[in-house]
Amino acid sequence: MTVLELKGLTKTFGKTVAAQDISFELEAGEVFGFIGPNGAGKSTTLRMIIGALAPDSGEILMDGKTVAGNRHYKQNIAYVPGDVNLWGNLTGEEVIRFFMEVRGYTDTARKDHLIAQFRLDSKKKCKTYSKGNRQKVALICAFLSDARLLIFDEPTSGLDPLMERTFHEQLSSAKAEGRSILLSSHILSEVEKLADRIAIIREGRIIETGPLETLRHITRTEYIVKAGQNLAEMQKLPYVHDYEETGDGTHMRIDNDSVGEFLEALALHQPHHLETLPPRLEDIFMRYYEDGSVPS
Amino acid sequence: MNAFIGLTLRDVWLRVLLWIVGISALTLIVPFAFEGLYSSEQEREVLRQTLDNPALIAMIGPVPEGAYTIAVMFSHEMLVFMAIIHGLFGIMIANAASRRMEDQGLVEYVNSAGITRQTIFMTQLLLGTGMNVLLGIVIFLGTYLSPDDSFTLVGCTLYAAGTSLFGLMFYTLTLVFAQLLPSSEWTFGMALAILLLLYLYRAITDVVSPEMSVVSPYNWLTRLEPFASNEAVWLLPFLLIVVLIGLAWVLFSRRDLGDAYFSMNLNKKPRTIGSYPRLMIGSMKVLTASWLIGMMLIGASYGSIFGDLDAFINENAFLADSMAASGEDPIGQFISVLIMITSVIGVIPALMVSGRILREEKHGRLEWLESAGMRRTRMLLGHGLYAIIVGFAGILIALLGMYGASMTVEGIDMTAGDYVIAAINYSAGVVLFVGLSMLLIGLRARLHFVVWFYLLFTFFINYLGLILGLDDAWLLATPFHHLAAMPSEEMAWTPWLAILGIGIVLSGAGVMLFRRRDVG
Ligand SMILES: Nc1ncnc2c1ncn2[C@@H]1O[C@H](COP(=O)(O)OP(=O)(O)O)[C@@H](O)[C@H]1O
Ligand SMILES: [Mg+2]
Repeated sequence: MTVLELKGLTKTFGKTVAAQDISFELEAGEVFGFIGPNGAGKSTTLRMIIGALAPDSGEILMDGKTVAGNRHYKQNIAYVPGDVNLWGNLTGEEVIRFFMEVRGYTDTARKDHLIAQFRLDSKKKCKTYSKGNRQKVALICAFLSDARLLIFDEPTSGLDPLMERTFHEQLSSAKAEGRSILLSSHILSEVEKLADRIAIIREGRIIETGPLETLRHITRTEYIVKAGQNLAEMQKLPYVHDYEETGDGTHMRIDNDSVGEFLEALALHQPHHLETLPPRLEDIFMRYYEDGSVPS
Repeated sequence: MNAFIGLTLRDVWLRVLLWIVGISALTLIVPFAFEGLYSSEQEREVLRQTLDNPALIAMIGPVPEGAYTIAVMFSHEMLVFMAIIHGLFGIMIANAASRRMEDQGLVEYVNSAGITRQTIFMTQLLLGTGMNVLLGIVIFLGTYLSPDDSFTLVGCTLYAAGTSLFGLMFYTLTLVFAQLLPSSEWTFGMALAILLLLYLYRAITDVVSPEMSVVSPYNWLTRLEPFASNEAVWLLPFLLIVVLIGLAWVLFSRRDLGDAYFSMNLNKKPRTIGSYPRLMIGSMKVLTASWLIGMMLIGASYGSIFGDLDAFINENAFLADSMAASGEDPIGQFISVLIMITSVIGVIPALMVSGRILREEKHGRLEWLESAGMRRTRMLLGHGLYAIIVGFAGILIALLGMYGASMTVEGIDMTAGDYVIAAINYSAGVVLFVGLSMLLIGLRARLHFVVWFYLLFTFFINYLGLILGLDDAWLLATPFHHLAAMPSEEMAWTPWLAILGIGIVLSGAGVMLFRRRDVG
């Protein structure tokens, strides 16, 4: 079942085209990663979904119905902004309680559990909070809600690795409950672990959408090779990148769509050890930035 | 050093420029206006007589001795009044360049990037000195070049130096508060409170016991007597600035960044806040409470001079007779002027409350709250309604304070009920201003400053319009002019309803626009 569908969303600020013709769908129980560098248009897109920005054109559908003119659709959404300045004079506890009151939640045991899980010092005033602590407050509010769609804008950018794990656990259990999750990030390894499908956005446009595996054809794989002959001349080949000789062998990254040619060329150098490392999403970007386009 | 100055200037230069242009324009229009209006000595003498009464002495200070030349008249009517604005200028910019930057984490950031505290502090001082010197030069040149001979070199120098030093003094005072108090709101609020309290103190003492007035810096300016006896020695008390600078530096260098000497921790137990209006009211309680107290003080201090007003009228048999003959009640007229000015001041807290929603927006909370199902139109309406309530309450408290302080004065036949009706009357003006504020919020967050300009314009026109005898066309552009000047006029419901109606329409339009626009 499609929970959220974006159709050709476009938003410009003056001359800046922050988002152009953004389309994707989100299924129930799916974690969808929305990836792009800073300024790519991630926040702009998410903020159109929650109604903070009005799209110049395009349509947002929730459960198959357009959200335009429907003010109740937000009841199904919980949103965690990229950075929110909480009310400095309230404590974290008070902010969380406020959200519970407003949304009509009464499960204080769960609240206390989440506060403990995220190790939030909730008795302190919000003005003393670091970005990470402010994010924890917003995350706790979101996980407390029973919204069917959770939208996170770079949720872990202020969290330490331990808290990141807590976040992943909470995310997994939300997913297990059949909730849908839209997660933006510029940290690719994070989304790689969590997302069922991803969309890659750059300069306001989505350049790729799909499950991770199908995107791998445009990535690079890192090989570690030991060979009888000197491999140095291989670095001249167009599909070989980041060539480096180290103690454990020669490292190089190979465009996945040129693996055949690579192996043929390598065979000439009498390899006796070949090891591969899993592809990383970073490499997708590297190819976009180096080539400006992607082989289809 | 240069990099940090550049950064600070980039942040504030436009505001500084607008202030300098605004203050110079307000100041320099006046000599030219006088030139046309009061060219003959007799006309000026008549004006001097009308200004020589307790109500106006409370507003603009005592009437100077000696020849009432155009320049003396200019300085008499402008100096004390403009000092408030010079002080406000200093406070706003000092706060922006110190505590606000610190609240935003900017000071810590540049400090970590190797810019020392000395540099930060020097930059703040340079900015304050530079902008006040610049303003002083503009005002000096402007007044010196004005067409009348009475604007002497010494007089112009003293006027410009006095106002600039006054501005700088409040700039440095704000720097001191920026170290003591935990946030930019506190810093601004406290500095503004001192600025206004010293003004009120001067207003009362100028009428009741002029010697005591010397405690207030406003009175130092009066005693300068620019263009007359030119008592330059009254610039010396402004050496206090040096003390303030030293104090600010000592306090700044000995504390942690982001910390303060006074922390305002008022509550301990976690509260459960059930709705946005309660959150909003709670977050503004210090603001509203201090304004209500301030309004009470303003009303009471005006009320406290009513006795002198009465005595003044009785002594002035000629004035009393002539006014009685024309069916006018002089006391009633003075009181209605004071009530109107008080009401214009009462708009300030109302606009602070309605404009507060912009802070929710700027800090990214509005979209967060909205994503949780709260409607922004309701939030704006909440701010608007609360603004009107605060505005009305402020005026009411001020007028009741006025009533309380003047209860023992005989010869004023106003009941508490009359004051309440006067408060209701002027509250229509509050509604109009709040409506305009909401309209601007609905249009664009950045346009909201326009309503402040309009309020300043209204204040200026109404305050000095009385004294300068401005064209009616100017007065027509301010809402308060259309409302009945109670108590000297009967309550008039038609203009009241009209202004109320305009205010409601504006706020309605603001809410509609706000629903559609982008937030954040
Ligand atoms: N309110 C705004 N006004 C003007 N430009 C904006 C606004 N919001 C975002 N932008 C611009 O739109 C582009 C996309 O921004 P954003 O969506 O925040 O990117 P991301 O979240 O991917 O880092 C950027 O160039 C940004 O400067
Ligand atoms: Mg972003």
